[in-house]
Amino acid sequence: MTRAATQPAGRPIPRRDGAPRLTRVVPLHWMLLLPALAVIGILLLYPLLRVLLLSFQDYGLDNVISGEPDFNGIDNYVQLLTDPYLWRIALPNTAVFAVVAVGGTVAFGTLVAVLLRSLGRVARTIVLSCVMVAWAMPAVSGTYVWIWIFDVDNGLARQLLGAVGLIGPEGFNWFTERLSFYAIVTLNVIHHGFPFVAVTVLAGLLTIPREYYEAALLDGATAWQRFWHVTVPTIRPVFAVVTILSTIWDFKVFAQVYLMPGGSGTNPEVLNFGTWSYIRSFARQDYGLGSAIAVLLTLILLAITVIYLRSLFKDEEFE
Amino acid sequence: MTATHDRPAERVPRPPRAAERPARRPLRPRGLSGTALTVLTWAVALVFVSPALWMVLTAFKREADAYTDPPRLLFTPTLERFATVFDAGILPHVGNSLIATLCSAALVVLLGVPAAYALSIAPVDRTRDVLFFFISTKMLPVVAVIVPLYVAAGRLNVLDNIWTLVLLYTAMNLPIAVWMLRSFFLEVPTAVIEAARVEGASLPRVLRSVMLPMMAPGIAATVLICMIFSWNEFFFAVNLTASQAATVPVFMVGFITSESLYWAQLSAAATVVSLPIVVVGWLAQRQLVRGLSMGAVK
Repeated sequence: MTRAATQPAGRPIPRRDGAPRLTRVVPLHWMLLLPALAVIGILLLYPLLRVLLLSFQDYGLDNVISGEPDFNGIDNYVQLLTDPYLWRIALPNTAVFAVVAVGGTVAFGTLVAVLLRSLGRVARTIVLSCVMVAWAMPAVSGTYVWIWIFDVDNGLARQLLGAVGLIGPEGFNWFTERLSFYAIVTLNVIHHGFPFVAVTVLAGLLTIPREYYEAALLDGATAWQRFWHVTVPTIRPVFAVVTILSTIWDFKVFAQVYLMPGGSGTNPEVLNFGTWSYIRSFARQDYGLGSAIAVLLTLILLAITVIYLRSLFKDEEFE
Repeated sequence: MTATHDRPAERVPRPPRAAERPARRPLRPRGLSGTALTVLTWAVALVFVSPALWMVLTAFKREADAYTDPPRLLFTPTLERFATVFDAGILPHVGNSLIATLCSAALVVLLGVPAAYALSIAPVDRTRDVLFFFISTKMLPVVAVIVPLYVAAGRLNVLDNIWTLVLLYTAMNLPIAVWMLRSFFLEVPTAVIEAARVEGASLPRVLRSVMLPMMAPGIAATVLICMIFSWNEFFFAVNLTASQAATVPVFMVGFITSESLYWAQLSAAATVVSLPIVVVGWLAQRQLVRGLSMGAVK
């Protein structure tokens, strides 16, 4: 438990197995790893390689039928990167949304975790139950509930805002405007994503020895100071993990956009990388360009994660 | 301090754990800011559970009651909407979801535990590479792999087959499971393993009868997280299944498009779809927190 505090997560490993045992273990270690690596390799990496190949082809319905590839070099990427739609719509819809959603998810999840920690037993069970409900509710159900809450005619949002006079009797269509559309997606995604952060951060908080806080209290630290100077440094790896995972999830958001009115392509203003790529491939049968969009998204995520992991591991080494 | 090192040795059902309930008192934030924080977070927690409450409430309404302005909190509850959902044939799809969720969780444990163990004893450098490989596969947008997967599944004649989803969910959940399980293995004190080895226990034996029981809460937490992801998965399911193997999220989307704007009915469907996993999650919340704090999610 306290290892979280005194840290480096990775370091005790070599010590566990002294040199003689290690030699005996290494072949076994690969045998143990192999099945998992094989499953992932076959089911995820092979398709990715295929997509990479597709992204260098002009692949349409005729190619699907004939089975003959039409390589066109980097044409798809040129077309993609020179398309103002990418820079004006798809990239902001993906990246700006992800930054806001990740920030909101992590901040709100942490807030709930801190609350959960400070609560007594009964209250904690109640709040934790609410949190679990929000988490386990499938994204598909959740999305429809949000759509209904913001329904133009009968939505709860309209009734509430209408009652206080913010919306006139003509109502307001939240789904046509890009900004309000993504405001709803953000609400939906934070609602769906914060429980993972809350539960994980709570688990981390519970590993922090009470003595740390007592010492900080003795020094007269305020709640705010205690959070920034005791909690955050002690469980920073936990924050790193939830931030990385939230980033990956929020960049890849699909159902929450696709199922919303207009999200399946009828309103081009609101597409993000995921839905754009999907619509390009399946609705327009332009598999080459669709694949190029998907590859671009993968590259962006890889770059972000490498930067994250670098800083994470670097910190561990210096501690 | 002592909590970690004592815990695995004693196999009492619930050993007093310092980490488990530190809220004995002084940690509660005091004063105005503390109260404000509590009130604020309670309010926000309520806001976040309200979509689910609203969904369940609406599911028991008649269609006409669902559209009233102001929204009606008092109404005569009816089960008609649920009857419609079951008449539409949701049960086989619940079965599909159960198969996909349970079997893939079992496979994840079967494949993930050995892999995580191997990573917990491997040299750090290599661990980092393999771990990075595992987590990097999480960066693949599912959108990217769906076209080749669809084509391959079509050739192998396994489209609309629930076992295709079982395999895919296994692959989808393995990276995060391995990552979590490894952190739990790292928590098992070396001394315990050494002691068992000295007594002459073989490595698989040590794994089975010493390490796994100690990791049980961690494994339970991992399984729960995988189950939530699989139950809720939409993208693979909607693209690779049709009438036969469709899971509940897919059924629900189909149900809605055919029924269009009947919100009470939709809420009933959403409630049925959410209920099993919400109950499981709710029952397992304690294990989840205990399991996660065991590895502190490193």
